[in-house]
Amino acid sequence: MVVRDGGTVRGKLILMAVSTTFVALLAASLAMLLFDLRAFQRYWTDDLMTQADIMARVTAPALTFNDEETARQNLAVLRVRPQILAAAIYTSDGARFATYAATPNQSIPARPAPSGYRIEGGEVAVFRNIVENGEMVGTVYLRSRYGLVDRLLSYGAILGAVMLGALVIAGLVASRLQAAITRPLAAVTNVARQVMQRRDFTLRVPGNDSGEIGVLVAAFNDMLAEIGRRSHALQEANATLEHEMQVRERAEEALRLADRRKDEFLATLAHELRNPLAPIRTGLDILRLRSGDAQATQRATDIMERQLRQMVRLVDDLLDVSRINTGKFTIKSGRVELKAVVNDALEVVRPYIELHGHELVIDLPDRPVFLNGDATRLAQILSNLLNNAAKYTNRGGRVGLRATVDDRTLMLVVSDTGIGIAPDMLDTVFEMFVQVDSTLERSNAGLGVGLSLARKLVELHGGSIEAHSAGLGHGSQFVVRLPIVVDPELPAKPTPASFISAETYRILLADDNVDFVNSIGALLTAMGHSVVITHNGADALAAAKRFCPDYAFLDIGLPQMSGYDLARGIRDLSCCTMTVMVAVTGWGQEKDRQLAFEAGFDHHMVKPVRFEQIEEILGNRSIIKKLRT
Amino acid sequence: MKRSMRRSLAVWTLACVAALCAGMGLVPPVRAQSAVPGVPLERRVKAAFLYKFLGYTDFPASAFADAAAPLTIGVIGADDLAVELARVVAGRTVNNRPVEVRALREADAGARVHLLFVGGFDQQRVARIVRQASGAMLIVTECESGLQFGSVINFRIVDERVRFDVSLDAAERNGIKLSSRLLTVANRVQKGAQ
Repeated sequence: MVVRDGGTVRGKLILMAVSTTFVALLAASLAMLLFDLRAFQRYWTDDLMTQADIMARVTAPALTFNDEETARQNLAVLRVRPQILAAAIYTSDGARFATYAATPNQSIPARPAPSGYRIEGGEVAVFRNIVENGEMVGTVYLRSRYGLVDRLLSYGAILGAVMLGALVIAGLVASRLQAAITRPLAAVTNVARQVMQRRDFTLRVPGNDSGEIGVLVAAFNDMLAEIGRRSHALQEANATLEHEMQVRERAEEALRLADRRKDEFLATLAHELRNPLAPIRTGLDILRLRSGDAQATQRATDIMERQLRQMVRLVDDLLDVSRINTGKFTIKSGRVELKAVVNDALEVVRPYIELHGHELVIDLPDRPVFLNGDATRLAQILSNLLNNAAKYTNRGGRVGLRATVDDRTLMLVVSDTGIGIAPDMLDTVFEMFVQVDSTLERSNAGLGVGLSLARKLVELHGGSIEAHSAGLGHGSQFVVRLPIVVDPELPAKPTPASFISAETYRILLADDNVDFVNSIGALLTAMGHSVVITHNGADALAAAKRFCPDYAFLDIGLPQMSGYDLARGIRDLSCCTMTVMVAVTGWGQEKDRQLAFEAGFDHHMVKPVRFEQIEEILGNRSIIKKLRT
Repeated sequence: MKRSMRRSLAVWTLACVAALCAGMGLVPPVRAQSAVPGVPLERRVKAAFLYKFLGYTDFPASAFADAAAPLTIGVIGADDLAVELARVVAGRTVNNRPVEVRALREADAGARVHLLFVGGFDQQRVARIVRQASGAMLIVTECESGLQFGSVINFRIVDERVRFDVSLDAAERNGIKLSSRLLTVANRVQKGAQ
């Protein structure tokens, strides 16, 4: 592994081994040196003493017999010991008897000193008594070089060399042995550095050592795995949070948008509801002031009627939207002829189109086309589209309705020469409360309900609707596709809704709203029908018994007896099994409708009732008869 | 020829030594501190030597009556030396044996002593006395050719100093052993047929 400086574990280990060896060697060397020097000194002095003793023994006879020559000769033997520098024999009186000097100019004490040795400078001197036959006959003096310093130097040199060699060997051995410790450590360090640099927690330290190093490596690997797991979990949690945040932001955005649309809708609604009231109020003023002027009265009544119709229509749409939104909207299923539907729709929108001065172009197939659905709702689709076309076309434009049959599909195209739709708005115009241009003048503004309702109704009939436009100012086209019934069994003679039968009926009206029922009664009477008017349930039942009406328009909220009970009562009458009963109520909810049908009603009308609706019901008499049989 | 030359030398030496001692007052190194002024230096040195010879001589056990028996030195023909020797050995022991000195007459030559000093320079007389002596004893003479008469140690004067010759054969004959260390300071050691 790479070792860059002395701060590494490897360097420390080697340093430790070498310094330990050094300290041990130093201590051993010092001890050996001290011991050796002591032994050396003892040996040296002992040796010199022995030498002196021998010399004493040898020279004793010469001294005894006063033979100086022999004594000198005896001393001369010392020449074989070059380290002995000088020697002398003294008589017992202390006089110098014989001397010896290895080299000239050696000083020899004139008088002997007490027996013993002394070390002076680099020399050691010894005095020994010469004892012969129990008597001290003289003294021997020996002086020798003392090789302690030489000894110290040579011994130190040897120890130093040995120590140097030992340190080198210790360093080599340590550098080999430390690998067992430093290699795993270096691997751990390396991996740790890589992990820090690359953030890669999948890295692992290789090797399966035993002991503490192995435990360290395993623990490090486990730690990496744990960090990796946690890091991964954290990233996942972050991603999830981010995703949730985006979803939430989108939902929030959608909520804000919906809220804004609702605000706009409310503003528009208030305006739309307020709009027709001014002409109505004006009409009322005209009627009050100029009640005698038949022409003025007629004009005021027409204006009021038109405005009222618009308002009712608006409220109807709102109610339908409400039903659709709460999932309570159902359509009746039945065979419906296209022309009847178109007639119904035109009946509604024709005055509006004419009011705007548009040219209306209608192109229908010659042969009858049958649809399966709710006639009222299908007419509502068309009227909504036509109304829309009229509304968003500048005065004097052209509004067209074309129907073509393609195999089993009826294609209805409502076109106009109006302001058109921007390409990016084509998809969103069908959404609730969306208006093509919120900057349009208020007179042109709508609630944004019509198209949305139209699409819902089309889809309920199993069809589709789409918007086309060549762009702003180039008009727009709404294409509705509906499945058609190709069953050949069909009534031989279609009955256009516009056709008003000359046939007259017996009609029973029951309503506690005296003005309303009287006015309707007057109209029907004027059309040639026999009309009986009652204001409560009991009277109505009694009248039905006598009168056996073909039609019975019954208010549900009658005093004394509810409309439902009255209907059951009438239905039970033997003469009234074929009577067409129509519920007239202020409640337009689906469940009210359901209750009415359960009680035996054939139709359900929501107040305020337009006279055209009554005429329409009277016109469908033949169909109803057929269905009932 | 040689003999006469030695004799004259010895006389000369003695004279010189005596002059030296008298003139300079120097004392020879052998127990000079207690020297008796009346006795000549040469006699005193020889007396000291006689005593010291005992330390270098091994006598057979049969030479002693018991372990505490004294070493006996017999002196013939040198009474002044005997007196001096008696003074030297007084209170001293050799090999844990006390030493006693006996001044003998010529007739007592056969006496049982361990060391017999025959003084005098009359060769015939000395030879006669030495011949009479028998047993394990160290015979010391001081005359010319003393060794030839059977003496073990014979004093000589060499370079104005008292020296001595040794005859190992005589020592062996007499049943005594002389220390080799004594031989190192001997003037001459005679061994074998000579």
